Amino acid sequence: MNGTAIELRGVGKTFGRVQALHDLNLTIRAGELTALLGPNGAGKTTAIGLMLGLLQPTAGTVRVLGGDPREARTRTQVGAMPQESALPGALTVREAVTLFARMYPAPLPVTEALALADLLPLAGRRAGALSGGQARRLAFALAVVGNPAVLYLDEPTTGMDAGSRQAFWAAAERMKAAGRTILLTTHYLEEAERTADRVIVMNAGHLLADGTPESLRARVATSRVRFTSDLVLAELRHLPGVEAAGVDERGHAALTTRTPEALVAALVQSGTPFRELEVTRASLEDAFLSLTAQASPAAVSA
Amino acid sequence: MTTLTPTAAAPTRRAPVPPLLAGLVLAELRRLVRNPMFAIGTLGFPIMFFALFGLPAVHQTTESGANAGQYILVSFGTYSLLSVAMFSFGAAVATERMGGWLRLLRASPLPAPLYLAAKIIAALLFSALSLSLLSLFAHLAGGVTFPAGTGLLTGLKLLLGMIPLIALGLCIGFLASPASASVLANILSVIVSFGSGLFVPLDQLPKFMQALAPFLPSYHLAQLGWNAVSGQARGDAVHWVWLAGYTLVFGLVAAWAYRRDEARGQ
Repeated sequence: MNGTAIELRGVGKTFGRVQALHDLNLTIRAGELTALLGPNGAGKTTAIGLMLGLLQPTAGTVRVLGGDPREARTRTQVGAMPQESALPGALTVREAVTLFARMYPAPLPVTEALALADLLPLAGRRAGALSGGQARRLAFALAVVGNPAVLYLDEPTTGMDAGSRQAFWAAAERMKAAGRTILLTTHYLEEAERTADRVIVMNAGHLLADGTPESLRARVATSRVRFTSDLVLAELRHLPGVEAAGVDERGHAALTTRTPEALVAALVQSGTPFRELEVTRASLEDAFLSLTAQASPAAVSA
Repeated sequence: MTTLTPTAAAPTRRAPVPPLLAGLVLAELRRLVRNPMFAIGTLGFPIMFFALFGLPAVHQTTESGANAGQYILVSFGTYSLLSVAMFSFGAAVATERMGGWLRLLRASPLPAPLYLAAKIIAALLFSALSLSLLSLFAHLAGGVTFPAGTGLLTGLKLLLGMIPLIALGLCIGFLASPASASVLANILSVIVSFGSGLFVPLDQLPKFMQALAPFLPSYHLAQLGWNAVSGQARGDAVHWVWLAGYTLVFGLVAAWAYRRDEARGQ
């Protein structure tokens, strides 16, 4: 189960004078759900385009399941859900999924793919009449109906409502449980944090970090302490272990610290009345923000 | 669902082609039939134009003594083929290309030639339907009749000779934006038809248009149809050569534009 599904070796990609990817080395293990994160323009979609064989690398090699991604042999084992919902508006949901099923040698039963994408009640509706979130689910059904070993999902939950999102992640979990390799990009970091085995952070065409959600979070060892009190900024800064502090005119304080326990103890001992205390560990989002913030000046000067 | 080991030797199996091709043709026909503007433009307009401009003259005979009705039917039939080619390949391909549908198909295991073959088959089927409806209308409203053999031969010649028009449609589809493609499709199908002598006989057109007509693909297509009606095939070779030349030129341009898109990753 733990072989290599996708391998990028020294991959570079330029569009005219824009260098979208710089010497990217990446190994996606089979059977894992990997989240590819990065701000807009980080090169995520370019990387997926290369893995899909839609783009040719300017330098380096891309191998998917041991083969060239542009070979038909590889493509029969790959499913993709691109960012823009491109669907045949005149076909019904079931017709579109049936058409895609016929492109693959061993597809899932159409009804199963529809159920997986929570589309059974909409099977008879024209693709052109779907809402944004429903269209995303149809794109997902088209990606999975071929029963592919590797799934690429570019911003899969963008435009989905909360219910659709939940159904989508349940389906992604099922695909993973069935041994599929999933590579997805998302802007919803809390979702990635919950489901991804592995997180890859990119910025400006460079790889910034690569690890489990826990290991990335651990890089940002700080916690956030929030409460409401009468303390002013100078007083907040004098609390023990405070690395950064902010307060608004209504007394909502937000502090960053590596020792939240000591900070809260000092606050209690000071006797100052406070309420709405909230202590949170660094989230993947914090890790992501601090990683990309650190990298940005370097990337600009590079 | 069973657990797979994706890194094991990849199966070399491909999806069987016949059901896939049938599915693609069916999808294409559904797309054509379910788009009311397309159906009206390609089935309705030729019948309407025939009723307006052709019907009053169907009982006349030409100077050479041929039946004008059959001649006019071929003219408007050629026009209907031109508009099917322009709309189903020009406007529709441009839309599929810009919307990202073509990009999704490129990432799928669907071979590009199969996508193209399905589109051509569907367009030919739709064209056959268009010709049949037009003939039926001409028969019922104007009493235009064909001996079965002549009618069939004329139809087949027109459909085969339609290939360069399809290639021209593909050029438009791969070069123009969706909005400009549908405008181009409209303009081309009307102006080129007019210039080819499909609406008004060539000898009634201004001199410069008469001189220009032999450079239009639909002129040669109509000539083949008119020859089939009058039962003479002597001059056909020249027209086939012209049409083959157009197929080559338009096909190369379309292929170049397709590769250009592919290189951009669109």
